[in-house]
Amino acid sequence: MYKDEIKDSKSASAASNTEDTITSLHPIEKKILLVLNSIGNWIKEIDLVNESGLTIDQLRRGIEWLRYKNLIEISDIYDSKISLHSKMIEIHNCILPERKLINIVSEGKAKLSDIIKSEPFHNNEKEVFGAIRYSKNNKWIQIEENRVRVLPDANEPSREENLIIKLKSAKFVLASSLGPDDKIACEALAKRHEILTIEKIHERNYRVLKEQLPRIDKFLKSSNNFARRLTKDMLVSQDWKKFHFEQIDVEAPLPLVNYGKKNPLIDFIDEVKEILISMGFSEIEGYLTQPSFWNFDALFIPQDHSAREMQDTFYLNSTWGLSSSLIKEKQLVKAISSVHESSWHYNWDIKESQSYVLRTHTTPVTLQYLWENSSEKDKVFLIGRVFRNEKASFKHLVEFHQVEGIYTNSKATLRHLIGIQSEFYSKLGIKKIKFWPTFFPYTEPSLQSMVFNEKLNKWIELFGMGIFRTEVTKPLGIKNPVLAWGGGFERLAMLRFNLNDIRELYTNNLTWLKSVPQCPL
Amino acid sequence: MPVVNVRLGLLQRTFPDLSQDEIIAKVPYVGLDIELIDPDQDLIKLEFNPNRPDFASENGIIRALKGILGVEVGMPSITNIQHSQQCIFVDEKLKNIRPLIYGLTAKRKIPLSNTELTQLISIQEDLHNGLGRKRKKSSIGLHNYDALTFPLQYRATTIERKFVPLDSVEETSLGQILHESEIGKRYGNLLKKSDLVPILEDDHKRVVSFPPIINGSISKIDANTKNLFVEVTATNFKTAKEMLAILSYELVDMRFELFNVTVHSPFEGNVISPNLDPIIIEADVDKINNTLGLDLVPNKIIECLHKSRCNGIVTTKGTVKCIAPSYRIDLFDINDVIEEVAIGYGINNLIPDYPEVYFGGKKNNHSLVFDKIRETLVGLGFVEIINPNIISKKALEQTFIFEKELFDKLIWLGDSQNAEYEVLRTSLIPSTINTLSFNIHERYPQKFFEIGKIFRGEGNSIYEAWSLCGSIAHDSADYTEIKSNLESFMKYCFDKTISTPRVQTGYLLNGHSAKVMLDTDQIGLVGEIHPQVLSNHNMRTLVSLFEIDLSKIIELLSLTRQDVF
Repeated sequence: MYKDEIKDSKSASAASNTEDTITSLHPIEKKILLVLNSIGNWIKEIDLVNESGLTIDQLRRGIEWLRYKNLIEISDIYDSKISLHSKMIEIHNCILPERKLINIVSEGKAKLSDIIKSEPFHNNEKEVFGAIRYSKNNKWIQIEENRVRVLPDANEPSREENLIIKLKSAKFVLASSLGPDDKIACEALAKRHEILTIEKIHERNYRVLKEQLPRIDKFLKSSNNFARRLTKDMLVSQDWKKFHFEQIDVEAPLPLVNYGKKNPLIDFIDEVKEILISMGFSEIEGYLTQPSFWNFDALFIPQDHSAREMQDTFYLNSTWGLSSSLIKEKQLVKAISSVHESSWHYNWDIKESQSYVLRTHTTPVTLQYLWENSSEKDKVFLIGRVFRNEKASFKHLVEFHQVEGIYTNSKATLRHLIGIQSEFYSKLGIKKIKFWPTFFPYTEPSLQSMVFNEKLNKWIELFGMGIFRTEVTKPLGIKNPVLAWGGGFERLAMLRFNLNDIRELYTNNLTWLKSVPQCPL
Repeated sequence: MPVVNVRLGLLQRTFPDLSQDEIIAKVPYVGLDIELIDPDQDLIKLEFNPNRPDFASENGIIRALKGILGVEVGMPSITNIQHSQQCIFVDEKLKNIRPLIYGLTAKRKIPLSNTELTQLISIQEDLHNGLGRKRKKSSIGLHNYDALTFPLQYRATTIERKFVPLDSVEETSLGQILHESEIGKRYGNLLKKSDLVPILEDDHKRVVSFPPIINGSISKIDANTKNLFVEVTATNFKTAKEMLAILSYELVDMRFELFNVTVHSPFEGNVISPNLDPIIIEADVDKINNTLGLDLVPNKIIECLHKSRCNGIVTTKGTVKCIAPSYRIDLFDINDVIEEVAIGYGINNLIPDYPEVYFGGKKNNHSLVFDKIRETLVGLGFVEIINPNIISKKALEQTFIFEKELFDKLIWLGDSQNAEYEVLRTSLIPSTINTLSFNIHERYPQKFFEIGKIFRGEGNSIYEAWSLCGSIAHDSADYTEIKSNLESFMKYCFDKTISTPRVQTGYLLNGHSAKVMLDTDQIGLVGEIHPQVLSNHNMRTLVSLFEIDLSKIIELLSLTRQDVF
């Protein structure tokens, strides 16, 4: 059974409301019931096969249906068939070693060494010592100074011999039919080598359920034609009118069908997109590979800032060397370099800003949008991949998604930003939120939001936000305040999908992909 | 973010009228994150942002908390720096090495406690790493004032010069320190520009310090030190001044008396340090109110500034002058003043407001097209997967066998922390086969698709485009089935037919692979995966797949249009 299949919640043993469900019998069922009815008592499976003329497979299928319809009863008998081992018959002529011993001693060879050498034992010491042990148990012999003396009891057959005699004439006996002495003998012999053959048997017997006899009679007498299923031919020939249709097992679970589906994370991203669009945000998009200029410099992050170091950022290179010309941005480069130099007091180097990086946040895309559109009022968002040169762990990914939004307007305020966040969270189903001051190099004032998670029963840090510094917006040609917010998306997804390890989102395990319901509650 | 330890008991003693929980609840509202509360050790660990190096000490944090809790408001000012005759002479040859030095003297009757010593060293470390950019911009030396004889000389010398460095008894040359000691190797590159290196020596020609590497042993501070000499050497005057300001406030909080030091510099003339002139920023009242969405009168704004440990005065009508202590290095302009007002007002007192301007939101064009693509493929029974853009070179090699020229166009990642992250993927196929090989214990048939970015180098810049890969795996997956799926996709999604001329490529089975053409343009490949590629991935099931360039399709079919009619 595959992991994604439904487990059978009930055994198919009996249907509860038989009256309503049975209207007809399959020909196989009919044949079985005819035999059972005429016998009226328990019948063995093999006999039923012979009497009904069905194959064993047909019979078993029919029996399942009948049992499901609660018309018959089944009894299972477990027994053992006991017979003599072929070697016991052929080689030993059904004589046990202990009897052989008595016979040899009776012939006059009482010395142990002579017995071993004797023809029946062929120097088989082991067999002789076994024979002595069993003879002693039977109180047949005594040993005195390496000589065997036969006692009077040896004239009587042992329990084991009695059983062997029976088996010799009867070919086999059933364990259930053994008397108490035979049972003990059987157990003892079963432990010994190559004396008995014991075969476990399972026998099934069937009979009709007495209380169902009137119904069975009715079914057997009915002269209707029954069809197992509707076929195309029946439909076309109109033969369906002549048939009654078989009741099939409508309750048994069946294997799941293969299906196609969107990735759960993409689906969740789409839900969040929908929320943002409903709040009037429009989606934007941009490149994952960005010149440092857009990823850092345009965001008022000085060139010696620790965030720009290799251990946080992936710098890119190729056989031919990578460098952005920044030709399109020529004027902007000038404006931004002078902002850096006057605020941070260092010599701004264009080479630093020409190197390519994998974007560490989605903000460069937002800035490019603002620069290209010089919007006086706007409301845009994006959800995209970002990259951090960190060790991957259960809570950190090297590559993850960030959601980011901005709102710009001449009258935009910090309270609007708090309002937009609160509305967004409430649409996600988050009710308890608080805001704290924090720091980002490119926003001022800056806030971080904390949300209360009921499942974890604790406050979790979620998105950061702030108003873009004028050092950021002015060079881009943006005059109005720009409210910006954003943060990692996977943290939301982990809460949504109840995951403890963030990496699970990207393993593409088919069982997990299929297990996430399309419509979660 | 850096972390600082604050004693819970000290917090409680400073704010006796509040419960410990009430004090801790306020901590985030000055911009600090609580990392850990440990009552057994009597401490709370607080993370601070790099823009507030004054939070590198317990005293700095308490200063801010006093404000927001209303216990002590307004600008903490140091008014009584006493004049001294002590001076430092600066050598002209240091111009291109490390030209700047400032200093101060701090005196107290009782010696430094061990706690204070630890705190000072911890602040020094934080300032070196953050503000000082690992000592490049500026660095601090703390000395026992009583061991020195003024005036001091800050001069350039050769690396043959010998002295006894801190925590040592033997004389060592500067060169040995640079090349042999741990600390010299770590910071020595800051002095590589010249053959000469800076030293600070006292009037007896003893080396007090070898900035920015290590102090001399003669002026070592310990728990017997009562009087301190602090020097800051720098390549950047602003950070040097800022560091000295932060230390000045710290020392005053430790109840030291400050004395100034005069620097005779060929670059700056005679400078008296420390310079603790406050930071003054004028802010328009309307601008403050408009940004915050409040309607505060100037006096209320000043009250808020007080709680943020700044002063404020109404100058002309409608303008407030914010006067901040010199350690507030994070204050540049009016935006920063606005944040101080907001923090003083209390972020928790800002009531959410909702902008009334109408905007009609919409998805962008790519998303709209991708939604349709997803819908079509899901209808064809494909399950969507997502994979990283960064993969290992090995993953590429296992799939793109016999494709040597491909490796010339790779984009490499510099200095990755994870071995499996080396290059940007040029195709979605390696990740797709990888996903299939992860799922060999799952039920077949398996049909996957992925929409993702692919990258290659183009001259000095990067080609970055959207790609689509669809794959089918089961015991008899073949060309016919994948092509039929691809044709169905193109037809149902775009109402387009494709042609598939034969192609030979290393990772697809020869004779069972083709180019995918949209009219005259190649948009991708389709075929059965080469058995060698499958066995490289320990696959025991057949795979056929297609990969097409979505960016190209969108361009060729002009799918950027949004017209309904």
